[in-house]
Amino acid sequence: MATSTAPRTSAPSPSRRSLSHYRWPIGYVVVIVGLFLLYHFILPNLVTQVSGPVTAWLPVATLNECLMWAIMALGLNVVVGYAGLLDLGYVAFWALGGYTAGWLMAAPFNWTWDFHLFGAVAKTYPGTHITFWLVILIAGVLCAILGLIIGAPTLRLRGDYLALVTLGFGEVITQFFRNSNDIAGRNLAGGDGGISIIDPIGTGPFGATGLVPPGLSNGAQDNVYKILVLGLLVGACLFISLRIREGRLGRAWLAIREDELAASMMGVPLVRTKLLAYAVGAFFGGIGGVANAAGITGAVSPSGFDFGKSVLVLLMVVLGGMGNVWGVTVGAFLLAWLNSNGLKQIGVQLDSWFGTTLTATLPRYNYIILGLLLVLMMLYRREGLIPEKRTKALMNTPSRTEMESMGAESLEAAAETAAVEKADAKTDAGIAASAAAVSPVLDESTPKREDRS
Amino acid sequence: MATLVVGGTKRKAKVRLGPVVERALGFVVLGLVAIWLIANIVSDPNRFLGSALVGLQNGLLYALVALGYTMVYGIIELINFAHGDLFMLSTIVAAGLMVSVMGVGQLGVGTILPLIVALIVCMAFGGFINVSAEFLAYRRLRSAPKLAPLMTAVGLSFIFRGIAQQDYVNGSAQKNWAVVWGGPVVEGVFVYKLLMVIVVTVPLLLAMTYIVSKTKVGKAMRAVAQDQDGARLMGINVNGTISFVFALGGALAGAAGVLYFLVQTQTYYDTGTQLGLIAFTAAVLGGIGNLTGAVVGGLAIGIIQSINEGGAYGLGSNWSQSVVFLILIVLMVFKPEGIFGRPTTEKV
Amino acid sequence: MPGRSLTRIVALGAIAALSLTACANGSDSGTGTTGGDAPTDLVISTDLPLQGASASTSESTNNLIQLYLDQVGGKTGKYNVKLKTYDDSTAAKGAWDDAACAKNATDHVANASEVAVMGTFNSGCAKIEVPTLNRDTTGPLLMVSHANTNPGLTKTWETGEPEKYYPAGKRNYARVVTTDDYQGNAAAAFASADLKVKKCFVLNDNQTYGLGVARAFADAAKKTGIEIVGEQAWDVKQPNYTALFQAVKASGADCVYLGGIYDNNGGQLIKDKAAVLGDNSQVKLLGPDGFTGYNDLLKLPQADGLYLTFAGLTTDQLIAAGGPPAKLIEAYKTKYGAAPTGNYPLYGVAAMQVILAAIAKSDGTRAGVTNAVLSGEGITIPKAESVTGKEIKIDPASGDTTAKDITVELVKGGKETFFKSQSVQ
Repeated sequence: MATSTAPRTSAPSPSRRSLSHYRWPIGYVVVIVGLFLLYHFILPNLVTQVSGPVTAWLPVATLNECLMWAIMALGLNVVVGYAGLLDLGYVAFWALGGYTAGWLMAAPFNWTWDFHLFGAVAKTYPGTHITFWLVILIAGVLCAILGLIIGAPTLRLRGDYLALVTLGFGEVITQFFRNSNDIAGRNLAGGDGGISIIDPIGTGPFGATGLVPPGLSNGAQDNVYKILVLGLLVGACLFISLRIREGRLGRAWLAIREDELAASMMGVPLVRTKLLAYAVGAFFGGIGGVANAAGITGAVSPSGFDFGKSVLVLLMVVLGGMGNVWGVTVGAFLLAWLNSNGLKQIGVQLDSWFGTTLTATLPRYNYIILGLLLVLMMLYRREGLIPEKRTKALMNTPSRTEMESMGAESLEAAAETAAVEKADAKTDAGIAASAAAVSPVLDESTPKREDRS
Repeated sequence: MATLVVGGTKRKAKVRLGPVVERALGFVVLGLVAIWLIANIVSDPNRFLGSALVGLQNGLLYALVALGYTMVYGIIELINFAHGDLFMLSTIVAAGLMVSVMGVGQLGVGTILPLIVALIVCMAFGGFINVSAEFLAYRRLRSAPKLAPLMTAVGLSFIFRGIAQQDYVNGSAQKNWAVVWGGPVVEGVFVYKLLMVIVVTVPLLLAMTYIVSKTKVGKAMRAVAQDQDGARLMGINVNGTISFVFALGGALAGAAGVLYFLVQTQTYYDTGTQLGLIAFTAAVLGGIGNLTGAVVGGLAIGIIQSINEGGAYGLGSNWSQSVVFLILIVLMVFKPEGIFGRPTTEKV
Repeated sequence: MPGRSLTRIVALGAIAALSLTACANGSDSGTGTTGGDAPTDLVISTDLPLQGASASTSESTNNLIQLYLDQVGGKTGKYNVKLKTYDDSTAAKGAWDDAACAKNATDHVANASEVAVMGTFNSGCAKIEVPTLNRDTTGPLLMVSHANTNPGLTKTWETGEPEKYYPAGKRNYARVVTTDDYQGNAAAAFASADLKVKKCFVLNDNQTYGLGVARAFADAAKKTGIEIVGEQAWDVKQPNYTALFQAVKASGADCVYLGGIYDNNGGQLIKDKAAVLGDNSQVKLLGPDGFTGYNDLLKLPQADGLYLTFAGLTTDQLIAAGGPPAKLIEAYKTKYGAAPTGNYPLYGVAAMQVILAAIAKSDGTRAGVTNAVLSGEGITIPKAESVTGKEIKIDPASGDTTAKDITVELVKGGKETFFKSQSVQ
């Protein structure tokens, strides 16, 4: 509660402040609705010369994937970008979210019961079918609890150890789901096959209002409508991220990120603040998991939840600009697009220009291209595509800091080291020479050098 | 105010109780592991022997890879995620060299010469790649926040994997090479194979320990690890020392690559990720930055893993990974500095 | 500032209202476009993993199907047909990927000229795609697989299967290969009658296919009097399995069944089996068709003596029998310089034959094509035309093929050699 009220009470004129604060949602809604209209209304009515390239470069399915990944990246951004806790097992929450959807909104599974609650399928279907909107919340809460469980033992660890333990948790949870067809003789989550046929998103309780267009409720062709639904979720995550960051909790996270010791000296409760970062990040991860299972794949299986996915989300966050929600969203879009459709399409385009045969081969260089991108980013634009204001400010901090976060590249320090390194070689010789001139003791080693010159 | 005082006293009591409870729990965990091992020995000694031998063989390989991690971490506090993939690349180089170039088919005592050649080539290869990576990337990130070199390492690991994945290198499937081991077999373990691993690994491990603890370069390494600026002021060539550590780490990965290929007679682009994770866990288990710790950690993980798979009482192969990581997590919680590591206080 | 924001809010409201009306209109136009007259140019797509371990088999399948279509002149009945290929794998994974499958499924549905899908290679991928194709309002869209052997897609297997894959209540999936349960039965009957083994240890790769065949084998073996002394999963990511085979050795098994696919580190498994349990003449080693068609495996000296079952007839057998398959393979060899990889490409053509026959019989719409296969008498390809060398008959009730050939092969001298045909009950 304190988080949302803090800025408002301190602001001199609430109405004015809040309006300027809410400028971005308008732009965001315009973008999402615009995209929706583009795919739903404008493109089908245009000549194929115009609509073809658009749908080839960014098909609706890919756009939806990008939106889903944006949720994940925003979630990890809370943990890594805000609180500075490096989490390499983020995929665990994605998996748990997906499996929650599998248990609560799918075709009958071994131990689920027949139960309908605004489900997206007909009442005659067996199995548990709870509406997407409720499952999102349940998955979010479950993941938040898992986040607390994972977070608790790691609290005393720093940096690399933390990364390793979260990585371990991620692997254990994936292996648990992989073996889940036989946990002490019981089939908990279908093992490698996972749980398939998860209900489409559907309208849930909103269907009763009669305002929902029929296309949103069911069917395979409702991909265009998913832009709105997933866009809404991304918008909610953006909103929560931005609001929390401004509140007491967000400032506490930043304080911890920048200097844990100083933060605790200033009265920031380390344990609670860190745990909350895990919980909030995990909550987003759970939402992303449900969005993926119900909105993108329609099934969950452990093969999708490997270490590579954790790294991919981390890449999105780092590439975009840690701590900056807009940067992170852009990073998510860029990488998700490259992964899903982009590389292939670039290959197609190059083929049509130069007559090469890259369509099939370019995606095979996926790893190399991503890796190069990452290395070059780290070397030349560490703070990400759209860096956070605060990290920009931190650039003026002199010398090496213990800041565990990203992008706080201190220019002076870099210049200093560069200068030192350059000077090293020269000055060493110079010092030796001058020392030789002053002290005869050092002279013993110098004659040979003089001989050569 | 009253509550604050109560909270304060409680907290005090907890601080005093904490370490005791933790130590006790640590011993309980160790005790349980010991009981589990003994139960396995008693119920089926032959099976235990066979599994333990496999564990020894795998554990030594883990130790070799873990050493590379631990040395690099020890000096610049970087988890070199690319290390596992460098190791994977060496397995491919070793395979190509030994099978395609030298035409090795039957392995045994007669293949010592090709083995030595492959070891030299792969160690040079590993060292070269690692030093180049350091020179081109990590060196420029030394003053950057820790995450920058870490992400660079992830990027390099992607590049290495991408290279191996190409069809003209290794392809995305496991490649089984038609190489067979000969010689006597004890409980399913080829004696020559195990001997080879021991004969190559143990001297390497000893050499590393010697270099770090006894030589001048080793002294420089330790100085750089402690304080780069201080070391520079003392006239130590910091860049050179760090490069040397990377060269050593790469050479170890190269050697491990040769051995791994010969043990498995298989190459796969994803080997590095999996084995790298296990090896890094081994390094942390033993106390990262500690050479003996890495070896002990590697052996411990190798043996626990194989007894879990092959022993009379085990969860089976499909839980191996979880067992390893759960041990790691438990250890991290109760003794974050590892088995041999010394607890450090954060510098202020 | 407040004024500017207000105008924006108003604008936003307008856009929202507009979008709602657009929704209402759009849903009408969406269904309207795909209706109307049936086009005479129809597209059949293939949906295969074109990257990773199965890439070469998939490529051969696509090439062979294209070759076959060229041979028949790209025509069936009164329709011209074209081939479109989809890839359900990603380079990053080197195997089929659930997101890629889901994306392909929506693409199949969205591409109005597509009337049927040939694929998928992996049952797991089919389980994601079939429901989406089934929900297609203009269909359901037909899928005919040449390689899915998981029983759950067409018959009662796990909870809720197969009904859950057909949410619209109508079947739209058929296949030209026999399912895993027959393969398991055949392997068990063969092990008991021909190999005369007493105790079997069953391993699986912990994946849908592997668990399926392993379970079928174990169940059938128990019935034939073989004792199952252990069932365990092997972890794909493990560097080696020597320790696992210690456990097998301790169980005293005289036969080991490998339920899974070779890609899942199967080579290591075979090598370690030989190291611990001796070569395959002592402790027999059996595997399902997930181990067939890999040259890498055949090169392993330790694979000598490995018995493999294959749901169908092998390419070699089909060529030896002469007729359409032999001709097709000959043509393929002249065009591409080598025989297609593995046994599945010919079955891909068989699936294509079913689709072509269905299109010829139908009115050219998706629903029509699906009905041609899965209602009435179904589709029958006579022996004289079939590329599998036998009559292909699809049971319209389930979509399964009525041919239940299981071939037992023996790996000998670096080759899969025909050992015997195993009849299945």
